[in-house]
Amino acid sequence: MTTILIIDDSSFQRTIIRKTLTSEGYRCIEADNGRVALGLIAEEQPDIIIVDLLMPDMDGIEFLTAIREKKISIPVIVLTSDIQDATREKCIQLGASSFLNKPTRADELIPAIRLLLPPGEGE
Amino acid sequence: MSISEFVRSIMLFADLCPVGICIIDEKKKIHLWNRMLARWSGRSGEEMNGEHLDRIYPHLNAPSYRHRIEQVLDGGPPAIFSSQLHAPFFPCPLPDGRVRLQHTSVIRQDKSDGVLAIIIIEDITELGYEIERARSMRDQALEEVEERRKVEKALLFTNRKLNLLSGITRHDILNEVTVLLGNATFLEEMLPAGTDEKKYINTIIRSTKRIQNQISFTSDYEGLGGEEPGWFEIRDVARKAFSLIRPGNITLDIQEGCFQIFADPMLEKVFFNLFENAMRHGGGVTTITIRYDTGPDESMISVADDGVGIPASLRNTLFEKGVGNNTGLGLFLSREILLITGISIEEAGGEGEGARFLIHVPNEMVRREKRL
Amino acid sequence: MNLNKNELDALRELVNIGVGKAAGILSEMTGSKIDLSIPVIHLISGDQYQEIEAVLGGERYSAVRLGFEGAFTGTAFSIFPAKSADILIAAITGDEPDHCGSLTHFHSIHAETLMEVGNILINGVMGSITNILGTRLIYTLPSYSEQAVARLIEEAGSDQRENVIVAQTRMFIQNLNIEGKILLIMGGESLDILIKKIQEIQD
Repeated sequence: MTTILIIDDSSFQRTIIRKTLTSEGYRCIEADNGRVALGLIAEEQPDIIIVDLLMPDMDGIEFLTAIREKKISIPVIVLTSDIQDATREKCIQLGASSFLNKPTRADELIPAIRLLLPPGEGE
Repeated sequence: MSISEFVRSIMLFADLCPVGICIIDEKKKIHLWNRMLARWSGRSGEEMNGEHLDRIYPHLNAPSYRHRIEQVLDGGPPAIFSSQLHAPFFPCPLPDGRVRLQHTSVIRQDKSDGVLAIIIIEDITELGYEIERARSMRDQALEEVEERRKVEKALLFTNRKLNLLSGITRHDILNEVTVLLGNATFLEEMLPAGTDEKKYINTIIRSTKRIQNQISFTSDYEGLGGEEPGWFEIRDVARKAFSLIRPGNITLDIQEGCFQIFADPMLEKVFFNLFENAMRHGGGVTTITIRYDTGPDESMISVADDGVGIPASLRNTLFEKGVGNNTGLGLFLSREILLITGISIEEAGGEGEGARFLIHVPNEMVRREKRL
Repeated sequence: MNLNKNELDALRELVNIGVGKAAGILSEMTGSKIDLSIPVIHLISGDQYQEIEAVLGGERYSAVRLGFEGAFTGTAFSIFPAKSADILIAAITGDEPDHCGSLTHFHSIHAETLMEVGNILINGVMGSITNILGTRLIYTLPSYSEQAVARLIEEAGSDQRENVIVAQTRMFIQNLNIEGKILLIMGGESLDILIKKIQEIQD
C-alpha cells in the first residue's frame, strides 16, 4: 500500500488532506514540522511526501534542503498557501517534484500523486 | 430576478449616475455600459453590450486584475482597485490627452440565472493631479532646501576662514601695538615734563591704547556669524551675561515664563553690553528690568534701567561705530549680532528716565513654550 | 465562548491560506517577493476593553471594514498600525504620510491606497473561509477609517461583538516589515455556526 507522509503544522489541514488520501486508499502518516518528519522518514520510508512551507522549528524550505543534503530521493509535493512564482521556483530548484496551492481539491492532488508513482501503483 | 430583468431595471438609474458603471457576467460578457462610461471611452452602450471585457481591454487578463475579478465572481467580497496601485481599469484619456485616474469597485450580484459583477468607476483625476502637483512642488522645495544648505555650509566655511585670517592679523597687529606702546612709554619717561614733545608722545600713547582696546574688544566678536543660529532662552542668557559683569548693588529683574528667540550664539554679548553700559554710564542704576510682550506680528524684549538715561544728543547715533566712551563698538556690534536673524534694537527711554532698549523679534523667531 | 486548540488551529490555517493568497496578489502588484510569518490567533470578548487593549493596544489603526451576512454574520476588519501604514504608503507612493491633517488631498490618496491593500488582505481571508467551508455570504462595500480598535469594535453593534477573533500576521515586502491584523467580529450564534462548519470538514 502506498504510504504518504503529510507534513503540516496545522492539524486541520492534515485532517483534510488525510481524508482525501485515505478515501483513495492511501495510507497516511503525519508530522507537524520538518524535524519530526525527518525522523519518520527513516522509520517508515514513505513513498511520497506532501509538505507545507510555513511551519515552526523546521520550515518547508529547510526540510527540502535537508533531504537534498541527505540524498533522500522520495518525491515531494509542496502544498502551500504561498502562491508567489518566486516561491514555486525556489521549491522546484530545491528538488520538489510538484507545487500545489492551498486549498487544493482532490482532483488536483490525486493526479499529482499518481504522476509521481510508478505505473500501476496507487490506482 | 433574471440578469436581463435586473439590467433593464437599473439602466435608467445607471445612466443618471456621475460614475462609470459596467455590468458583466461570469464569462465577462458586458450587459450594461452606462452613459458616463460611453462618454469617457467613446464607445457607446450599444457597441459594448454583448462584447467580452477581456477582448476590449486585454490588460484585465493580467493576474493582478484577473484573480481579483474572478474572486468576486466566485462569491468573494467586493474588490477595490486604487489609482495609486493600478493603471486605469478602463483607459479613457481626457480630451487633453492626460490619463483619467480611476478608483474602481467590483461587486458581485447573484441573479436567478447567473452571477454578475458590477464595476463602478469613480473619476478621481483632479485629486490625483493635485497630488502630482503637490509632489512636484514638494520635490522642488526639497531641492531648494538642499541647495540652501550647501550655500550655508559654504558660507560658514568661508566665515571660519575669514575669522581665522583676521585672528592671525589681529594677533600680529597687537604684537606691533605692544612694541609701539612699550617704546612710546619709555620715550615718555625720558622726556622732561611740560614739554611739547611729552604732550605729543602722551597723545600717541592714549591713541595706541585705544587701538589696543578696540582690537582686543573685536577679538571677542570673532565668532560673529561663524556658528549656526539657534534657540536661546532669554532668562538663561541674561542671567549668564549678568554674572560676568561686577554688578555691585544692581539687581536684575526678569519676567517669569519661557521666552526663547532664534538668534546668533553671540546673543549673550548683546545683554552683556547693555548691562555693562547701564553699570558704567547709567549714573546710579539700581535695577535692570527685562520684560517680554507678544504682538500680532512681532514680539518685544525690553531691557530698562532706572538710571539717568541716554542724552538726547547721542540717541540718533547710539548704534554707530565709535560712539560712546569706551571702545565705541559695543552697541554697534550688538545690533549686528541681532540682525543676523532679522532682530532689531532701538533705544526708547528718556533723558532722566533711564535707558530703555527695545529688541524687536519677528514672531517666527519666538517660542513661548519649551521644546525638547 | 472559548475555542479549543483544534478550533484555533483551523482558524489559523484558514487565515494562513487567505493571507497567502493576498500576498501573492500584492507580490504581483509590487513586483517584489513577500515573506510571511505564521499567523497568531486570539479569541477575545468584544466587551472586554482591557483585553482588547492588552492584545491590540490603544493606538490608532488604518482599518478597512467589511460587513458580511449569510450562514454567519459579522464584521471583518483588516487593520494596520500607524507605523506599518506609513511604511506601506512610503513604499508605494514615495510620500511622507500626513498626520496633522494639513495635506487633505494626500490623505485621501493614502487612504485609497491603504484601502486597496486592506481589501486584498481581507478578501483573501474571507475568500479562504467561505471557499473551504463551502458557504456563501453577502458583503457590504468596504470602507476605510483610522481609529483605535475599541472604537472599531463598538461600531459592530452590541449583539454582534461578543467575540473578536484576532489574527496577527507580518509581511516582509522589499525588506520592509509590515504588520497587519485581521479582526473577525461575530455574535455568539454566528461563531457557533462557523465552528460547526469547521468541525463538519474535519469529521
